[in-house]
Amino acid sequence: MEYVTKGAGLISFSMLVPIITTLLIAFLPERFTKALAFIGSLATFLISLYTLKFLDFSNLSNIYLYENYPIIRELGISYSVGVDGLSEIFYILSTFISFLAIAWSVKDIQIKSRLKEYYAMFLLTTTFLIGVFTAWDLVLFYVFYELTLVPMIFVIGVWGYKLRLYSAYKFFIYIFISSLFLLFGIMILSADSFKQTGHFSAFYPSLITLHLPLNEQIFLFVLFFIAFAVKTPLVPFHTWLPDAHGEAPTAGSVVLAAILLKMGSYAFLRFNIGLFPEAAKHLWLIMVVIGIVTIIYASWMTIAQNNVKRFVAYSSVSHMGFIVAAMFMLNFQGFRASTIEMIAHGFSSAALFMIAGFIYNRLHSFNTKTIAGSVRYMPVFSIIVALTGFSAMGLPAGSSFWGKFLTILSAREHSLTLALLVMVSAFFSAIYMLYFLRNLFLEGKTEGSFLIFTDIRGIKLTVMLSLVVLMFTIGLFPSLFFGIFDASLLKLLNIIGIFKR
Amino acid sequence: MAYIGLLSLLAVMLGLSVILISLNWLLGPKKKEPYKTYPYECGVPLYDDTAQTTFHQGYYILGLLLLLFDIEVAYLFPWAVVYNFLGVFGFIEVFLFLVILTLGLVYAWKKEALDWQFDLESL
Amino acid sequence: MDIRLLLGSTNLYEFKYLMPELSVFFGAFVLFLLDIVMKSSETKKRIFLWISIIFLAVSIFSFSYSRVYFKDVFSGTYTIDTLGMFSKIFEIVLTLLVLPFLHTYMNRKNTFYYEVYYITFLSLLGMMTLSSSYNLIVIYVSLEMVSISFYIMTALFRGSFISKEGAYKYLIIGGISIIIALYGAAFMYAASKSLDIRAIMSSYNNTNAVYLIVGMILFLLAFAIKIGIIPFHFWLPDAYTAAPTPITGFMASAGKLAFFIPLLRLMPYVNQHLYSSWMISVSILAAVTMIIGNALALVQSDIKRLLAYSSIAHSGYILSVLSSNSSMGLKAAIYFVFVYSIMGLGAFLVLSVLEQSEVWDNQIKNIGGLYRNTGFLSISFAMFLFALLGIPPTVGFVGKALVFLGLAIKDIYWLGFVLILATAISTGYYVRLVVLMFMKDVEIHFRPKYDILENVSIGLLVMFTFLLGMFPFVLWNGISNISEFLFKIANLR
Repeated sequence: MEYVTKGAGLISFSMLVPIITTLLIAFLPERFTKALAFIGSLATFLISLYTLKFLDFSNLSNIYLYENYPIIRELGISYSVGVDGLSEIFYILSTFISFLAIAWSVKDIQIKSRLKEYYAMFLLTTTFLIGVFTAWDLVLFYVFYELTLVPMIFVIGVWGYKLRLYSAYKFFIYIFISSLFLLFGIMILSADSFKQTGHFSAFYPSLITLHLPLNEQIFLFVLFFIAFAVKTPLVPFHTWLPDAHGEAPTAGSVVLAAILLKMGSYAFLRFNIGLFPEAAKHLWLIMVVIGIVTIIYASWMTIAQNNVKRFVAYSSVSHMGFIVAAMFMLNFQGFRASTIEMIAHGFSSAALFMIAGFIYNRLHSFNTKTIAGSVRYMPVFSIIVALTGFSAMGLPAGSSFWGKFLTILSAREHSLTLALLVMVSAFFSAIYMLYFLRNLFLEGKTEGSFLIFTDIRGIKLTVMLSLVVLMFTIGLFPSLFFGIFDASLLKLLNIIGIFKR
Repeated sequence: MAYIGLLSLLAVMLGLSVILISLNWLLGPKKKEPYKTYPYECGVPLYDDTAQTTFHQGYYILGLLLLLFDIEVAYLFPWAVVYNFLGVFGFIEVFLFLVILTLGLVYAWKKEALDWQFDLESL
Repeated sequence: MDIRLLLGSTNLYEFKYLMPELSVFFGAFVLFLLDIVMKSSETKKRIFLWISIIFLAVSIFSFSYSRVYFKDVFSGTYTIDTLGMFSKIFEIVLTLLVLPFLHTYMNRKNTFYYEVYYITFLSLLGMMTLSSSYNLIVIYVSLEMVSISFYIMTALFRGSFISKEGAYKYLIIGGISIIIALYGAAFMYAASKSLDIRAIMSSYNNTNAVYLIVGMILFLLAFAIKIGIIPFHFWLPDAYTAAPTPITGFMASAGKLAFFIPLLRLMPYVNQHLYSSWMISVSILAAVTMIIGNALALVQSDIKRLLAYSSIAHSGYILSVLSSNSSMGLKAAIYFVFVYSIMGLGAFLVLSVLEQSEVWDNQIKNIGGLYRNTGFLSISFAMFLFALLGIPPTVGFVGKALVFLGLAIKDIYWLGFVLILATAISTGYYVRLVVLMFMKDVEIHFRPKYDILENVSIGLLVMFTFLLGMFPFVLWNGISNISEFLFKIANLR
């Protein structure tokens, strides 16, 4: 693995662009805010697309755009950022979703007060997300991981719906406390590297080469697990999510669901499996069982909701359960399944939250009885809803299909019963998605009280169409995405050793 | 065994106190007289009915200053004993000591601590 | 002891290493004389403020006079080294930041005392000598000097009964702590016939083991009372609430810094015989302090008292890493002590600006919607609260991360989990304050009066909080070098 520094500084620059935009927003008058935010996030997204030019697609397990500045040389803490295949796809995903969220908010009538702070929070979140996915130093990763909480607590607490203060408290406190375990684990790992090699180090590629005894690995695995299980989230640590997603404004929910949850599962892949392979090999079955329990429990909870935003939130939990279950099958198809599902879920949950937000803008309610059948009178919107729904449930040519299919394949490599279990749990996502579609299309009154609502158009239409197109791109041309992250997944697999039952 | 003197002193102290008080309690007369519990004030009747009189707060600050300067004088005694031996160094050192305390007196003077404190507002 | 021998061994030329202390002392003297000579007036107040600032600036510049790495002066009673220099510079800078607040706070609350200035200087002098000595007598005298100045300053609130009560409690319990320090010093002297901590701790042998351990524990106990370790903390919330808020900030930051330094100097000399008693007492005290301090802060309804309890909890964090007998632990402790003084001072100073408005009582329920009233103060208060909590990239996070590292390197995992639990408890009250400030509707309407020097001080503190958090190597290299050096010479003895 080599560290290619061609084009270095681009990632730090793309982290600076949102900050510069925030400063401009702070000092210029209010009428420039929306335009500045739009241009700033679009610029960040275009820079992230531009970084694709520097990747050598034949050798994507190297680290590109690498920068390394020591912060505390003696403790091995450095500012080291760079992308390999896996990080690159998440980097582009996070800038893209942030751009879509800001674009949606520009026309969102729910955001009326304190506009400057609102857009500033989203731009700061963009910076921190870029930092999370491109950091190669564990302490730097932790810094950005924690920092994403700060703008989000303000977004939920200031511009959210009725229970926003309670949700903001719960979100912040729950995730912060769990990530303290992560900090402790990182420090123990650094101390272990000191005991073995005489240098402290928090640099991920050198920590991979550390060989710790099994007890130590399991202890650290559990510490890291606590933090990432709350973030992902896995049952029974998921209780912050329905409140946080349900009470956040639309754009906030989009960013939370599409990217912040992926931080947890990305970290599972990179850190839990990459740093502690022996522990992963010992504990894989427990993790798969937790994943499957998450899928089934969350699906049941989804069906029981009468608030459509919480409905979508619980469905996110169930998708994340799939991701974790697929990942811990510890084979190539499993890794592929979890990664493609992460990207697919990013798009589909963004689209679903935007649907819920759009319906709230028109009907001012999230109650399923109130909004039943409302979609029938907005033809363009109904097409988008239908396409999103079918794609999210795992229909072939839709986005989640590959995730589910490859998970079943990877489970088959272990045992037939496991594959059957995964198949049954995959069925549940169809159940709740059909509930969702039935509620929006087939129920409710048929009189003309909904005829006065205007259809989706303009920026919001463009945003949702792009999401739908991307979802179907994943479904129809998955090799485009596989090509980017396959090499990194193979490298991770080499760390574990080929795992066959 | 080296502390046998101390222990016997302790025993005598305790024993004597206990014996005397209990003898008084056993054998003494117990008649209530009106002036038996009257506080002593050199034969003069009390100015104040409570046994502990309140004293004027002007005395309090003067008492504090007295304490400080009394201790200062007490420190001058050992110095006076070895004055010959110390020479110029000793003289200058104690001179500085006295200067610092005199500065304290000047401070108290300027902050009206030496004035008769009749009104409460200057606290 | 012959007087001529005593005279001959005095090295008057070594006073050049004490230029900062001398300029502070001279400043105190000049202010005292000015107070006696001048009549009370507005110009006198301004002159006092500016003369104080000038003397403190002179003191900082005089540090360049003594460029030594490690030197014992005055025949071993005073030590000039990097740790001392860092702590002295920090104490002077913290005093500089507090001075403008003293001026405006005392003016607005109509409780102006000129004594505050030179008593602050004298307490600063005491802190500086406390940070630079291994000798038991010098530590004792400096401790007294700092403590007595603090007792006086706590009471300087005109007409307020609460202020006098807090000062009284501080006085009594401070008196107890000083007596315990003396008792411990007596034991240590009896064990080793020497007054220098280094010689005392190195003189462990089987006959004096008991006396040495008892002396060390009592010495630790005296400082534990001063820094507010549970269960010896009972004076701290009352004293901190009673004192004028800039004074509280000064006590909580520079005072705590100074009181910790002797413990930090003691730690490298805890050799393996003494280690078990040291570790048990320090780790249990630290664990209890962390949890109970935060739990008590959670139920407070007065912001100043809440900050006092949070300072108790932070003393617990710093003490916990002292139980790890490694140079990494010492580095983490030194770093955290320095950064806590920055964060703690910032929080108290913001509170002192807010208190100058008449409608502000320090209750939590009135903090709602502070962002509407004043953007600058609420944002800086939020920054300090996040720093105290430990959110990256503030200095509080770096401190906590280093504490975790210091505990991890000696495999003291249980204290790490206690620290996680304690931080979890503290999240409750810090986040509540931030959420109430920004997300609630306005409870009370007022406009805090802005004074340029105060804003500059708070701005500087916020800047330090972030810059030192993002670029910790500014402090780190010096701290690391001195810790390694102290451990090396401790192990040579």
